[in-house]
Amino acid sequence: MNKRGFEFSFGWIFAIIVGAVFIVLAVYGASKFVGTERYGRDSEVAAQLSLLMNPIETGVEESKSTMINLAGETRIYNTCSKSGNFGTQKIAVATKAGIGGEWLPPGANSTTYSKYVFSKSVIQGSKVNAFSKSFEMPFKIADLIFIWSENDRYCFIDPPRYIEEELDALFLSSNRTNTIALASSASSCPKESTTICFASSNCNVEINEQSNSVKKKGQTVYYYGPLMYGAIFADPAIYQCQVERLMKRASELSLLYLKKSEYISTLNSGCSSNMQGSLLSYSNQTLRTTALDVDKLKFSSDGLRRLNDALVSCKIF
Amino acid sequence: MRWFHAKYSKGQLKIQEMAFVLIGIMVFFAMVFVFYAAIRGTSLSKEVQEIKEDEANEVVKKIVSSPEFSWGGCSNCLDMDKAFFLKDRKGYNGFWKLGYLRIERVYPLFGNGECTPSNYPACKSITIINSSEFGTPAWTFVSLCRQENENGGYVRCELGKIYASEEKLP
Repeated sequence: MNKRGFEFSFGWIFAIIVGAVFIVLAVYGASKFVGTERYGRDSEVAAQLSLLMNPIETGVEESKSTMINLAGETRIYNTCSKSGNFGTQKIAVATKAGIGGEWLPPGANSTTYSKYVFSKSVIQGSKVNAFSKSFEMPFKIADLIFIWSENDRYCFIDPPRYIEEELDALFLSSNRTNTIALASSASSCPKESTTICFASSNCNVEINEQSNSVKKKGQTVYYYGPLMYGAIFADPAIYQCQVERLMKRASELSLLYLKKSEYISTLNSGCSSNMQGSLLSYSNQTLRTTALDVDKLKFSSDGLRRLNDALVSCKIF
Repeated sequence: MRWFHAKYSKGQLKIQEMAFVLIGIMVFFAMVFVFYAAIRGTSLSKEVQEIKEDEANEVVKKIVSSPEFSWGGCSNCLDMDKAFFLKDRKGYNGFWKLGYLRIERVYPLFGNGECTPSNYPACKSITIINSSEFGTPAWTFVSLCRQENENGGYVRCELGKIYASEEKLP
């Protein structure tokens, strides 16, 4: 017998191998479990974020602003889809965590059909600024919600007076956020801010009020009314998608007002019957409208408004 | 040879004992995991239902200011004419993600029935969404406004309620 030898029985070998397999399986199971729990938590945060946007929407107010504080550093994914009668607004969230990868894929999407969120496709931060504006064309179509991270800064260079007053009322006078600045030139803007020009070029966002166009990231889109803010704060792809979704809603609303007009004209000796053709035509026109020609709807929209305003006793909207 | 045979059997027995112990431990942890997964699944289902309930409560607060229901320029006024014609608009199926949505006249009462083209506006309620399973409806008072054709036409507003509830999870 070799006295310097070490007895290592098969039983021990078997136990060590099986033990090692169990440890590997347990570590794998734990990491999968953590991933699943994080997915569930992120999905819940996305659903709660969607709910939080409800109070931001306007009622009879023209606009509202707020700041949303998140639990920690968070990524918000904004996805817009045009499919279906009204398109889809999807919000997903990924939270930063210490275990596992720093940023994992986001949780499940929180899907709504009646919200229109204009933002970058991914926003990252622990605080998010938001404001909403009522969009009317000529009747109220929806509330537009604009959101951006505390880490994104916007500098409006020599804006028109009405925009200056609006930004002042929403943010500046209350010191609600330091991410919006007004400046007389690009050199006065805070560092690393997105510059927005109204009467000059060489800015990140160039707005032409004569042609109702916004040039951003090499793409030109058109706007009507508060959609200008959507073109400023949102990525071009999201802006175009949301505009088409809004037009779908405008089309359905026109048909609803058409039904109302038909009913009222039977009650009231034909009152508002002169609007019915225009409402049907407006419904068809909005269905074909995109972000490249939304400004052209202004003529039809103003025409409908004039017809409605002329009705004394049976206004449709 | 007999001595060698006995030693070999003892080793085999020990391995078999260890194998059974390991299988027992695996079964025990599997049962613990199944138990935990069942409890977690139930609580997840409850959390989803609570979020849906919160969503329905928020919708009931905001739905009156939605363009499909709002009466222009009045904060808590619902356009009863639009709401009535919304019943037939198939395009709005699933739009509000609700299981139940109903508008009811509180005062003055005109009757007890559901509004139809033959009895509108002399009716009590307009049910827009009525799925097979829904939770306890949240409700709020609203002003129900509509066009009236008497005296040359005027706007008539009455007291009403709006009920909304989320869809129950299967």
